[in-house]
Amino acid sequence: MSDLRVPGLTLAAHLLRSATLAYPLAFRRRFASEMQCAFQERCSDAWRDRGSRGLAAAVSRTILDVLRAGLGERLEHRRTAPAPGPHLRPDPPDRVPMFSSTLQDIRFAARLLRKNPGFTLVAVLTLALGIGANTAIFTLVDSLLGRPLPGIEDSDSLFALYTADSGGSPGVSSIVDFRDFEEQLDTVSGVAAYKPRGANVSNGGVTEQLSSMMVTGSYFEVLGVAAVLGRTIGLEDDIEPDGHPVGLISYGLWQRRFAGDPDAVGSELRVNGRAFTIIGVTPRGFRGTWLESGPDLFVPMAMQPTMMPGNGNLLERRGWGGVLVLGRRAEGQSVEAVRAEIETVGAWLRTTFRVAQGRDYQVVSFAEGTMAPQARTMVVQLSALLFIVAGLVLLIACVNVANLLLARAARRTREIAVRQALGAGRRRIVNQLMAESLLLSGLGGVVGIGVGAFLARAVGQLPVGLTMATGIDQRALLFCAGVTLLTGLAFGLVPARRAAQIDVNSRLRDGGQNVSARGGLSSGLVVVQVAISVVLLVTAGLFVRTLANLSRLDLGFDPAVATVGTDPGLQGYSTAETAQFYAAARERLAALPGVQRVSYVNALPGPENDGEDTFSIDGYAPADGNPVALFSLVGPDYFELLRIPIVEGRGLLVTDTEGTQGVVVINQAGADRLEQLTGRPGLGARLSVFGSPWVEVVGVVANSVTSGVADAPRTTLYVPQQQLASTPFASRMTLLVRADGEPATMVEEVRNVVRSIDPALPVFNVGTLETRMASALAQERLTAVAIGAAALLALALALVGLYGILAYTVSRRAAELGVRMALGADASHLVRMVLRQASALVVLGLVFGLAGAAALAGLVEGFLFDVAALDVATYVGVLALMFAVSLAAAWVPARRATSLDPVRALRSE
Amino acid sequence: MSEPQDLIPLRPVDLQILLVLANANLHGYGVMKAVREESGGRVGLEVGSLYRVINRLLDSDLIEQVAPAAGSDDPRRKHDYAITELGRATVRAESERLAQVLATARARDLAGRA
Repeated sequence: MSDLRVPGLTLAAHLLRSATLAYPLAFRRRFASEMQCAFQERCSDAWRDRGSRGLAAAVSRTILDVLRAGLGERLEHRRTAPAPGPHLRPDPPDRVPMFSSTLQDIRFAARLLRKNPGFTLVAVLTLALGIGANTAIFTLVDSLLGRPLPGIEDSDSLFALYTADSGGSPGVSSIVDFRDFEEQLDTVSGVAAYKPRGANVSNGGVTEQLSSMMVTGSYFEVLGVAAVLGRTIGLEDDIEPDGHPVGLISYGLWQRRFAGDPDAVGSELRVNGRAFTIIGVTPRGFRGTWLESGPDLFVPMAMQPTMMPGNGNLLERRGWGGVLVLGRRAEGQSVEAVRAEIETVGAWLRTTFRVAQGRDYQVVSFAEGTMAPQARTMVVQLSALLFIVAGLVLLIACVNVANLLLARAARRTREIAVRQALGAGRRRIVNQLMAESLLLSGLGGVVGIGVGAFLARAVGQLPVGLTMATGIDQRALLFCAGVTLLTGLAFGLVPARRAAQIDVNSRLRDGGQNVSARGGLSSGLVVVQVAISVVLLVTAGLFVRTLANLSRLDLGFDPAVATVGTDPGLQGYSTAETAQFYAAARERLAALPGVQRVSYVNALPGPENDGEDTFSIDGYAPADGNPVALFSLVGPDYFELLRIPIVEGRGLLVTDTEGTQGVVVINQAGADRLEQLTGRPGLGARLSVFGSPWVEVVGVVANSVTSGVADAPRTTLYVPQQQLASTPFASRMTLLVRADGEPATMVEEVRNVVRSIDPALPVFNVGTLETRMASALAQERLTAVAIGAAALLALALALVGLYGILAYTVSRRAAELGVRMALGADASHLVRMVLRQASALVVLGLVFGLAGAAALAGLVEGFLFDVAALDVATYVGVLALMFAVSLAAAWVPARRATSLDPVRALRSE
Repeated sequence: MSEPQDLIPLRPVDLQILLVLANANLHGYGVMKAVREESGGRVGLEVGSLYRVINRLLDSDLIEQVAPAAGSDDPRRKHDYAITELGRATVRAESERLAQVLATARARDLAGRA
């Protein structure tokens, strides 16, 4: 009896092995191989006796039997000892297993859901949307605020150090202060400093501007990050200023530029014209410690002079506040202990060094330290808003499903009554109904995870200025599961308990529905839905109006201009060479056909245009500190190019060079401020900027957008770039070209001109000012779209709910009205009744909804522009919309009421 | 230690298998074949259910695993099954019980003649 003669035996054996998975593990361990053995003998015999048909029968019978038996084995409450007791018991296992009734409930619930595919689909989808949206937002917020950066070990014990100062960006500290902290702090296991910086990086003939980061030798050790190839920057690479031309490249750069070649380590990279050696590659996904930049290159802090050309060696200047500091608490040390010690050292710094006098050293959480404080506040507020919105959507979805379940329960009262009459406990009935809702919410949750993942990834792709790690992780899954469970309980409990409270006798007798109670509760739910929709609609309306206002804003200039930016100084040009470069660029660009005007500016309008500093006024002694202004370095012809009107005096000319009288142009806001401070007109005033000798204000221009599209105009001083040609500030400029025709077509030409002067010079800001200004509103657009979508979804759900209850009312009163109509009553009475009920619900919902929207006003205010949080027009608009749409929802039931056939109405039920 | 009285009444399939094993020690497939034969083809036991019963009988000490009979060519046949003393006693007790039931049934003219 050789097994080899039986065809397909191996396959059958595999099938059996899979099927035995139905058994519990212990059972499998005990009998799996024996079963294989017996099975094969069985198959052999079957094949020998009855041929292939017999074999097929044997295999299929066995597999089915195994599956059945396996499940049975799993479910059965195993007897570890023979059942005690003197009586004889009937054959089926006497102890009803604990979960067989739950299993029964679930099976029954599943069957019920299968029989009503429409209902199931709608319910599951609605829930999935609500749960998915919440999960997605949780993922985003969690990754932004909770675990902002991947790849860092144990970020709970990390902290960031802020130096609050009177000058410089908030949060940055002095590298020299840092060294003192490094030396003196005992409650920390390590501190590190870092600074993000753009750099011109070239290898193999390709130059591009990359995001890079200067880090102290302790950086990677403090973070607990090791290189995946080569080694990380260590203390030995951070000793001699400008003496350690080594660098660590990011995993992404390694793949992109070096195709993952292991020989990349040890090869050369030119950074800002200087030869660096690559010593290692950072782990995949590691993105440094500053959210706004994902550096491709890490270099030692000691290389600061090369990374910031023209600034010289700032590493020993305590006055230079330009680095970010983080640290890790030593084991066993609390945050308070660290804070206290930093306070002590800080006090010593303040008293010992003049320049540190006004400094306030603060300890903040690591997550906070990964982005600028204003950015973080904004993120927190936006997150709160999004959470509320998502929560409301989920609430509406739950209410909808609850209503549907209530309706179903009402129809099933007879069945339930029968069950109760047969002895089913109230608890049992509630359990069974709860099984349905939990099954529904479970399905919704499963689909919701998919929805959530999709949404989270989609938003992560959008260019909102912040990149972050997305993708559903364990915490988000846990959150999703929790929300799902709560949802199921929330919308399942009330209908379940309701249904179980019916009076058996009366229900069996009139076979009727738990009428008034259901109506009351359902109505209440619909009111809630309407209220929530109103809140969302109002919020969405406000955001949409904000977006519209922002889009319509007068920029103060004409953005139909091509832009190409470059930084010759970063490439190793001397200041004289830089000046030559820009002169040549201007000349060649002006010579191009169709070009009207050419100029340049150090920073385009937008968030990076935040170069603020103080300035002094000749003949005016300020009471409390010199005034602050925004500084713009511009080329000649700037205002004419951008069509910024010159209100008084003149613009800046080619003749305003280093050899001639120092001049400056201010904007209207600046002129007003000067007048306010000095009592004299702005034009003609003499100012000192960057500690220079007095320069004269030769012109006043109209206000225009500088940093934020929605910001109020700030005092802005326009300094001719040519007059600062021997400073490093004059290097990084964006060329602006206005020509006949579309700016987009001009962009490539401008680029070519730059290339023609120096092919190796990398460029940035390539595009048009129009697209740049449009994308500045990307975030507002995204928010408006998201909330708008949520509002529309809520509205749709509320209307479905409203329609449902109205239709139900009509069908309920059908018998009564059938009688009336038979007696000659007018159908319009019924129509009016329907409309009355609809309006009652809607009005009540509106009242609550408008109150709710008003309550949210405080939170929403910060995001609006030119629209009050309690904007009357929006509120009235939503009111009208709600009414109109509700009438539409009431229309169909009303029509149906008029077309009632009295006879049929009386006959049914 | 359990008593036969504690273990009856037996499920029909349990009894069947115990009877088969009372006759001779068999391995898994052998039991299946024997059960089919002895019941005249009416009790068809498949592998999946068979081993559930074997599991049950083993746990109740009604059968035990023993070394396989000599001459088996299959290396996977690690052991045969044999009825235990408790098993025999339980079969006897069950038979007595069934006999009583049968006698009662006959007395009331409900069962066929012996």
